[in-house]
Amino acid sequence: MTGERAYLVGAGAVIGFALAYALPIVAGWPLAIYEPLAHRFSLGLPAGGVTLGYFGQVLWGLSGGLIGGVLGASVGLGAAWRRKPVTEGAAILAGAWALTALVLVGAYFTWLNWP
Amino acid sequence: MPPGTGPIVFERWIRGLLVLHALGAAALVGAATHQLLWCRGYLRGQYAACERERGMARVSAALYVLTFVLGAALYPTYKVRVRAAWFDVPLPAGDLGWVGRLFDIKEHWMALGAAAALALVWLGRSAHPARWPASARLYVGLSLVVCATTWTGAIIGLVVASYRAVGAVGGGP
Repeated sequence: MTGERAYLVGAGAVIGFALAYALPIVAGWPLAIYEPLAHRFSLGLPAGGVTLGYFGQVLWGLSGGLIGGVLGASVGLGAAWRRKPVTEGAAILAGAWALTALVLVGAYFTWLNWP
Repeated sequence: MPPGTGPIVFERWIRGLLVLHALGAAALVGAATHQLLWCRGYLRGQYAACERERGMARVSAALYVLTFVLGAALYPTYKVRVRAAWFDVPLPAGDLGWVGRLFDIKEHWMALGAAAALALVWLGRSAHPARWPASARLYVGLSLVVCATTWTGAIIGLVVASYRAVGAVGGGP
């Protein structure tokens, strides 16, 4: 894999992970919930009490990372097919989006849980 | 079944897991800090520490995943024995709800930091700044995220454990 395609895969995966990690909470979409006292997983929305939505949220993030990586690879392949290399400006933009996504999602959950 | 009763997964080994989690976190803080310091020259096109930095990025990612998995094993016990029993209930000595919310902030940043650590290893293999300089900003930025989240996680973890840790004697207030 070329450097530019690997870079786009990495940036896409980071963006995908960050956005998908926040998605079930922001949009109120169902996720895997673990009930530690009943020892069982179920699909639903995070409720109060003794339930863990964190593992399901991480699963959402991993799925988003996979999709983002594939999208990044597709962009890289598209650029190679058109024989147009990814410019440094485009690479910087993709990297900036990746870092912004991480900080934005982290800031959102910090704000949501601020003591 | 009310909170605080019944067996919880991994609770039998909770003290050992907590010690391993703390040791992993301490090693991770060191590895992530070294990795960040060694890659800071990339923004100026200096790659003198390139080989050892790439190795440290791999060590850092491995420690991140290990510490994350150990933390995940501790989490159900924390949720029942600490969070539900102490932080989410009004106590005579004062409300500790803010400690539980502080822990939530840590867990979200740690998940994001784990993604950044794995992305660093990926970039280090095929798009390292020494081979493809356009990746320098993202590479150093991800290193900063990894280092900042490990320090944040370690400090918040210590603060939370200073109020109530898993494995504390007694099931509730």
